[in-house]
Amino acid sequence: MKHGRTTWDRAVLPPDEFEERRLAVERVLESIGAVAVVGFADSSRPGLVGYLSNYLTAGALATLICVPGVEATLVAGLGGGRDHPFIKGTSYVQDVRWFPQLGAGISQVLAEHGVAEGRLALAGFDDCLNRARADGVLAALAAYEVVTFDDAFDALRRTKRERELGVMRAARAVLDEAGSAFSASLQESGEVHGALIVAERVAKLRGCRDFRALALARDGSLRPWPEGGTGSTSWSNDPFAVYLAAEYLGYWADLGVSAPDQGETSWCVRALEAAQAALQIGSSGASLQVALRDRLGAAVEQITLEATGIGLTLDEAPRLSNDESALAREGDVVCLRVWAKDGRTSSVVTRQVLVGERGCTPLEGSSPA
Amino acid sequence: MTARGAPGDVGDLAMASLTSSAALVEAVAARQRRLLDAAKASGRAAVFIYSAAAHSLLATDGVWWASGFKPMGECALGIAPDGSFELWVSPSGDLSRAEDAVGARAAGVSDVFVAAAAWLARCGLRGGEVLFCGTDKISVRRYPSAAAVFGEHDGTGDRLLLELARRRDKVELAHALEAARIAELGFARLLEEIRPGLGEFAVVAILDGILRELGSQDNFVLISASQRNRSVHPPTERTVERGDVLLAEISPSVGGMFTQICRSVTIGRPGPSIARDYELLDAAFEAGRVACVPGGPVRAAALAMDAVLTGAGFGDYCRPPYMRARGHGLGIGSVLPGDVTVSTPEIFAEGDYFVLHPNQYLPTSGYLLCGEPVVVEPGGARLMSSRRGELASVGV
Repeated sequence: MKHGRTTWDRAVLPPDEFEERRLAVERVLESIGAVAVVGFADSSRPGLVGYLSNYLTAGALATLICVPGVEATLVAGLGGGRDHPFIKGTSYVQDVRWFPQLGAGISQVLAEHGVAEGRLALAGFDDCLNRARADGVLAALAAYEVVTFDDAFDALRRTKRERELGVMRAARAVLDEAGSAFSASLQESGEVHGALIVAERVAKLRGCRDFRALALARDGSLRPWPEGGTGSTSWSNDPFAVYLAAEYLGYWADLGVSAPDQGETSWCVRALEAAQAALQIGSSGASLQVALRDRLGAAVEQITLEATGIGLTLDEAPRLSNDESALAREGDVVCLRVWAKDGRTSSVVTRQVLVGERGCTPLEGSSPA
Repeated sequence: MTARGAPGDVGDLAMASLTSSAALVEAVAARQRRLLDAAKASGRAAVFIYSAAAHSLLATDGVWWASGFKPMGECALGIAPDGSFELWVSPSGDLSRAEDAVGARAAGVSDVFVAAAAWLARCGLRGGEVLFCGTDKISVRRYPSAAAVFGEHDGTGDRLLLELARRRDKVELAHALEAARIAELGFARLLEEIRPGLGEFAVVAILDGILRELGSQDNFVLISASQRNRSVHPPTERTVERGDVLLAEISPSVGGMFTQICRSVTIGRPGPSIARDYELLDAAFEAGRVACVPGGPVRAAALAMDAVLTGAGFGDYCRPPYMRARGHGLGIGSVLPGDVTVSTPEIFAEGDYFVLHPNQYLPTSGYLLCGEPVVVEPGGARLMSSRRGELASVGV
């Protein structure tokens, strides 16, 4: 459950940032001939809603209706409006409403802005709605030519804006602090479970809204913490491996901490360095695998490389390791995650990199103010 | 004050025994039997349960309920006509955790509907012969795959599962009791930590750590503060200061069973209006509690609470946006009786488990929280917490 600091940090993501994002989306809408876009979001997929409004729903479905040139409308909350004053405090969009019938509500808002027909783009529709709700929405939008905006939005989102990169660096810095706290606590107590509690506390005290972890269990598997174990008795304390992820102002960062120490000569780190060295404009998941094999030889069989985008979610475009057609391009922020398994020992290292003209560079952490 | 029942209410087994693997396995087997029997009574030969692993306080997970395994990715469970079952788990890397729950019945798969199609073939069944539970969890993107295997299903299975699972079994109640114990202990420890100058989010961070240390596996929290709260909401960076009223909805979970206690804390001595209004909400809670009887309408509990507030002159505030609901169901397999509102058509059943809370904005003190987890019994709802909460104060 996401329940950490929920805020709009205007210093880091000022109103002009959301204005520029809105204009960028409107340019894409114009290019596809759409008269408006409606975005849907849930707690795992903030999508267009989070991107354009800063509002990150922790539970109930949120919907954003954007007609070019006019203020957007955010449909959010559990009904009744009790939570709307709070939502307005965290949202760039101030027209916040709730409708008992979502489709009718969307149609009403569009009509208010004189948009009665035409091509209507939908973002997040396929993933955030179930069939029954989707049917209701589509029935209410029968007058429009409905098209998906997902691919276009993914393409727009791949190139992170400067302020997004700033937040992502801050997120990584916070997670580095949490990771250090984890290591210090583990050294003192010898107990992974307790050290993860410490790490989570540090992350949340530094302003993260969400914190997730995978930890090495005694049977050699990596499991979600804490559900995967029973308190302190199920986690492997020596050797240990934890994968930490945290969301800060809507943006995710992740980090791997393992022991034996993943020094420069470990397979994990060598794989990470090989992946980073190979990643450039035009790289695919397959090309990265070739680079790993060239560098590691037979040891590559112990390695799993994930190379995906990261930002408002932990796994977003470009999904180089999951999509054969995906190719890296300049401006991508790619998260390289290397998982190594050797018997009952696992290791994980991660690095977020920015793809540039001549290869990629690490997205270094920079401490938030 | 209405105390919760003795441990004997959940049998003679201690908490540790009831939440042990053996007890859970036995409970899960019983749940599957009941579900299969219900399917056959409705003319279906088998059961299929789908989970998208989208967990929340207000949502159920049929796979979790029927297997004891908490999905972390798309999962499904099939119960064959002979009572045997299979659990299909994704990502496949989560298989070992699933095997802990169901042993060799678990299989790691890349697509649960492909696995389900093979299972149907092995069972010699067509999709329409299966009771499909979890249609409300399937996204638009995944629906074609589901329909290709099972055809169209109208949600009958979803409601049947809710009804079947609404009487929480002993293991569920034991988990709920433990979660309530954690919530109360956690709140007591939190009171020792709250001090002026702490950000709302820092209060949550401290509480999270406490609840984890006490054994909570997940936690839904709303903590906010104001000199005059308009509502309760997720924590911001607003600092807590003397004169504030801090509101806390604390909802840890054990074994998937969430609890919820709703607490109000004054930073400094409470003003007379706050103390008086809290007593009013407390009286409303009691009025609602006695109205939670098997066979009685759920709305009667909401109306009873409203009546207390109306009697005090606050009738105009017994509606949104000054409040949302007077309570809501909690559970893995079922969240019936659902939201406790004046308009709900639901009827209470013995064993219904939910949080009852007359949480409310009052013009004289702002929003206040007051609520406990309860289970419906013939004489009214019984507390699952050890005692009714009180208006707390720190820094007096």
